[in-house]
Amino acid sequence: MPKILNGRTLLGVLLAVVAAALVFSPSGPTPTSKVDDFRLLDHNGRSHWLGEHIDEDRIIFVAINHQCGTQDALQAMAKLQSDFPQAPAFYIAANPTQEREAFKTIIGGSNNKAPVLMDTSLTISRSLGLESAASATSVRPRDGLLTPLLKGLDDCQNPQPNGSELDYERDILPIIDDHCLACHTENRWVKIFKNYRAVRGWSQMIRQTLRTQRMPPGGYDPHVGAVEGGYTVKEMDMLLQWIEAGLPRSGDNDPLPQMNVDRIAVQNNPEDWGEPSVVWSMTTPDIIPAEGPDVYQYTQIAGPTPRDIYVSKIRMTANFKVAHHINLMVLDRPFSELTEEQVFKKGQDQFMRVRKINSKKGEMYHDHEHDPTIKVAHEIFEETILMTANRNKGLEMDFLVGPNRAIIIPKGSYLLLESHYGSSGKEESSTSKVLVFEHTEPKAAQIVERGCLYRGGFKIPPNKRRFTMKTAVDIEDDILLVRIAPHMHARGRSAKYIAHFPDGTTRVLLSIPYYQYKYQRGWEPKPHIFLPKGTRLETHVTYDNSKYNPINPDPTQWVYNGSSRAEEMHLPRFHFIRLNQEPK
Amino acid sequence: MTLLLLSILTACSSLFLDVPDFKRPNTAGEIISLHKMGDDATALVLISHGVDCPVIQQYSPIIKEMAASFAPKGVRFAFVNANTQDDAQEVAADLKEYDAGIPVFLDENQKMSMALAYKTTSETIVIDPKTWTIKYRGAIDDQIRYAGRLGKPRHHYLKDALGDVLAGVPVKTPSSRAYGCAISYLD
Ligand code: HEC
Repeated sequence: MPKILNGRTLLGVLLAVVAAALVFSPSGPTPTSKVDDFRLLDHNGRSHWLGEHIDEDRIIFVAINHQCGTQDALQAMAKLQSDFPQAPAFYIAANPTQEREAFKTIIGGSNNKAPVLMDTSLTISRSLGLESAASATSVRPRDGLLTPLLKGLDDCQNPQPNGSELDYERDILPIIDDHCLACHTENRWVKIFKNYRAVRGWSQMIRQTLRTQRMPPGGYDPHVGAVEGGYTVKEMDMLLQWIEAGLPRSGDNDPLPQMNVDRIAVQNNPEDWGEPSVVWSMTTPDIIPAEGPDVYQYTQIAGPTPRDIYVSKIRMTANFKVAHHINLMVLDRPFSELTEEQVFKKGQDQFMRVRKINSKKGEMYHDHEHDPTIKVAHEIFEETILMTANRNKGLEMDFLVGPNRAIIIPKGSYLLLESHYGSSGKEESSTSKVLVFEHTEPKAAQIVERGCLYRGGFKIPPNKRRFTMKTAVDIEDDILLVRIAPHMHARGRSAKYIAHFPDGTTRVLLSIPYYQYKYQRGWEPKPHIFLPKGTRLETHVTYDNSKYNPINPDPTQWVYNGSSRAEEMHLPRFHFIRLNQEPK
Repeated sequence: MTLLLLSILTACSSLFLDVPDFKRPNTAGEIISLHKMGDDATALVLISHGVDCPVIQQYSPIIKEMAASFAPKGVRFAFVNANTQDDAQEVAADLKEYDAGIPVFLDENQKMSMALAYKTTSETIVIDPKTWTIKYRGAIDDQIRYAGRLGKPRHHYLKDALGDVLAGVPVKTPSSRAYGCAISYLD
């Protein structure tokens, strides 16, 4: 026991009380147990976060199983909903295979509706003290205090997590390598995965990020469909179960340091990228003072380009200590020909103006009233932004168009860098560089086009917890969708991309139930998605302008559409290949 | 067991009659003492520190500025580092980056942090060295969150608590939720 027992503190008394409590109630949740924060998807794929209910007195959780004791759970819910009519209530199902469809049927046919939280790791129910069907507990969200309510059925126990059978080297390192290390090597962010010792020291924080589904960033729902480099529910559950089981390992061997070395080697010289054929660089560095407000700087770094450039890969560098993001934009005229007013006029939309000048196609859908019903944009608009590098995006500082694919920067283009800087506490300089790797056989390459389904002119009322919006486009050519990148700002909460096919069927292409402004990522559906001519592509997004959004700059204000961080945006971006391309 | 202990300690931390002395090495290997630090101080601010935690990194300039502005009023700042994965050189390098001249208690066996019931880095405690009681526990302010930060803080918890302590009045907001990197207490 610590030396401090000798101090004149109450600590000694407390320790004695704790010891007594442990002796007299060896197991089960005591009224003093607490549950740590968590976030789970429900049976409809919506994301629920305990921390959001901070102002509620209590939340009710009822354990449910689709195979046994289902009726008991429904009845338990009925009783508790009438006992605590004000309290938000959730079912929670400890089940690695989710069974969303089964629960849709069960809940759909019942009078006791509530979201069924998918506790696939089996660890969240346990941390709530719920071990069997129809057991129930109440949580005080402010501090996680648990009050057990119902004991549940002895003959319908939750399955046990098997974390103690998992092994560091055999089971866990491959997951870390595939889904964490790309961003967490020593030369990138937060050196959590240097070696076993570091993982152990960081384990409570890793546990927290997994329980709240903040890491790996991106918040996409793997249940909807696979994406390139995406994680599975099972992988993340194994990681969490392994940590809960005390990070078991079978020997002293630790390949993690070498895995870091290998990763860094690839990052520095990605596979066989070779030498870039074009390098654009700022001629004078941007200086970012030690303190001050965020700034956007614009630097034209090239143009007019002497020929068509078939881009196969791009790498962008900047001083990411101070650069939040840099955007590389393709303009069809010099930046100097865009007037100050066009570019900087406050309250207007940067992206739109630049693109309006650049775009040769169609009419932009742009309404000036708040109208949350669906409107149709006639075309996916040509994207001005070629690539965004963002210090929180990990590997996307490198941009791969994909095997045998290319993006064209047309002859006569001007390249503009938009750099968004924030002070770091020390004066820093940043000299951005763009390295372009061209396609070796441009004639044979599939041409990837870039488009965005922009919606402007909206405004979100103060304190609005769920603001929903839709946009849509009718696809006029057979295309293959190769990448989807949501873009909203700090109030962005969720995004869904849906295709209505000409044959009348509908499919959700990608769902981001938990959008995180800080870690904006683009996703490549696996396999790529064929959208025949006549398909309607829809986006459904929600924003949270309430105080329950922890990064909301000011919930008391109307939020207008605009490109600054304080404003909101809806600019999902798509990469696609036209299937009946004219041969070049 | 550790976790249960911790949560009870946290719940009851306001019951501390007095904070005992702690002696720990700093990054230069010299032993520093908490009570000695309090000898000539009007208030002590103890901040849980961890290398590479994005939250505490973003707070570094803010901490530096506060330490400087409260120094003339006799307030002293110190860090406590309980991370088993951080060695002394790494801690020194991390602190040097912001050059705030704030000492750090290297709490290698984690017992100081456990006794102070720290749950996460950036968690801040204000101690009145006249009585050795804890007057405030929680966040520095509410500006920095896990996946983002507010343009400016809405609540200046630490600044306000120090103001109250220096004025000799009860602290109006004696606790708040600290965001930071959860400390892993290992046996
Ligand atoms: C796409 C890049 C990326 C991937 C992949 C990624 N992380 Fe992170 N992670 C980050 C960034 C960036 C931060 C720093 C956050 C900040 O600056 O606020 C971070 C921070 C963290 C932290 C520190 C606490 C925090 O939230 O700041 C933990 C723990 C963590 N990540 C765990 C993981 C785990 C576990 C995985 C794999 C399952 C993972 N990360 C995958 C980018 C990534």
